[in-house]
Amino acid sequence: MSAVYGRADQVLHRNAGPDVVAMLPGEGDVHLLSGPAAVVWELLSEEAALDGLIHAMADLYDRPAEEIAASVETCLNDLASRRLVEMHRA
Amino acid sequence: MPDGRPVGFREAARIVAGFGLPAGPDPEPMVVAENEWQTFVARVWGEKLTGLAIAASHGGVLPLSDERAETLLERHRRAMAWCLRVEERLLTLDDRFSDAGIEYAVLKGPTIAHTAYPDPSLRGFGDLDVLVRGRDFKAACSTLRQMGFGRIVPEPRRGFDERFGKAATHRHDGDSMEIDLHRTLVLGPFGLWIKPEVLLDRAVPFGLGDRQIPRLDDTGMLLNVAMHASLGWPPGLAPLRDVLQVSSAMAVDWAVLRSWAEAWRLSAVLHHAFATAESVLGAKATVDSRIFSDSRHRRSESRALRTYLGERHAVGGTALSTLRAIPGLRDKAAYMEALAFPQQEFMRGRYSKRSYGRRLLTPARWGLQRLLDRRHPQQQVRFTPRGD
Repeated sequence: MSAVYGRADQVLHRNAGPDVVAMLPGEGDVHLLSGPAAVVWELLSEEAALDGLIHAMADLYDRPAEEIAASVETCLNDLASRRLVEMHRA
Repeated sequence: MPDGRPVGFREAARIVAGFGLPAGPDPEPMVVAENEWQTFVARVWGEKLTGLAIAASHGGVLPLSDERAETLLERHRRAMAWCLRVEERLLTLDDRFSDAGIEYAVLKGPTIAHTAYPDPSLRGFGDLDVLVRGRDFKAACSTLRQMGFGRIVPEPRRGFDERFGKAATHRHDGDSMEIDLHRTLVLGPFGLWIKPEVLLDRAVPFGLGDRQIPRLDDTGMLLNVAMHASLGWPPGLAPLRDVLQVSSAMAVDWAVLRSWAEAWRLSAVLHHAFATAESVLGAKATVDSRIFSDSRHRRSESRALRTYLGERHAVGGTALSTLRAIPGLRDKAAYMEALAFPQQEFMRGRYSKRSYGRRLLTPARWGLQRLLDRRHPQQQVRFTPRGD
């Protein structure tokens, strides 16, 4: 069983140039996602498995997948801890 | 500094406002003069155009140095963060109005951003506009009060809102966010002639987060933005952009719009909105909009329209044309009485000192201004975009 990530349905968000601003209604904080976090957010416009996200980021940044895997997972966990992203078991 | 045609802040803002329109011009790259850059940034911020400015920059029309790009981007981030807070408040409003059984539709702002523009970040907004039925107006005011929004200026007299009013602005005690609670779309005769309940009957939902929020249907939305662009004061660039954006991107029922225009005396207003948008933004409106230029506008429409524009606006033109539009002597008398002798709460909200004398002198001031305008016509206010 693998993990699938997606944006939380209730999140409000906007593009801000290369960045993204996002908030969970009722939480109060507006989060600024920039750099790779904004790219991950863009990739999550459709639900994606962790492996797929890692390979997509590796292609975009032209780096070996194993080199960036930990960073992508950390980013996803950070977004999940802010409840902007949800993880499901596929 | 990147290369481009040197332009002043006004022209740059105007070109930004028209950027990306389907039948728009293909402007050459432009560079805002150094001494006008900060004014330009303030202008696009004030006009809610930071998203289009960023898009124009990415599209090569507004090439920017790194420093300028960061300045603009920082403003845009702040603008978008505020939009999210407004939308969060809209979700709360939806909960409260639903609980109170208040039927409503969101106007302009978030609805246009999410439905008419290819990306909502292209259309900023600073407040909420909400249309309710006249019978729900008081309950809606009360619900907003419970949400922490206080009405800025009370109604002149009890019952004025439901009979003659356009909207009441409410401001939040904490963050100063504003919600305009509308009973009709505009102040004055056109606001009295239209039937807002017809627009509410046709409301449709739009998606916001995981929720569905009521808005005017596409035809109602175009009517709303056109009236705002044509009759709003001072006129702005974003409303003019909205007219061309909504008319080209949304599924407008032009036959219905024409029937409304005829029934509600809006042909001149719609013609004026399209003509002004084309003239200011340099883009062509959809051919469907030509039905209004072909219309023979009624004299009452044209006369009422003139009172919203230019010199007559500042000297009581709208109030006088409203008086003409109110049917029946009894209602006319009630309108005049409410404006001449408003309740004390209205006076306290409107003026720093409660002075009926000052209030009663207003018609005399209008008359004097009209006299001066006749003698010095070059000083009259003309219909030009905001700040020009």
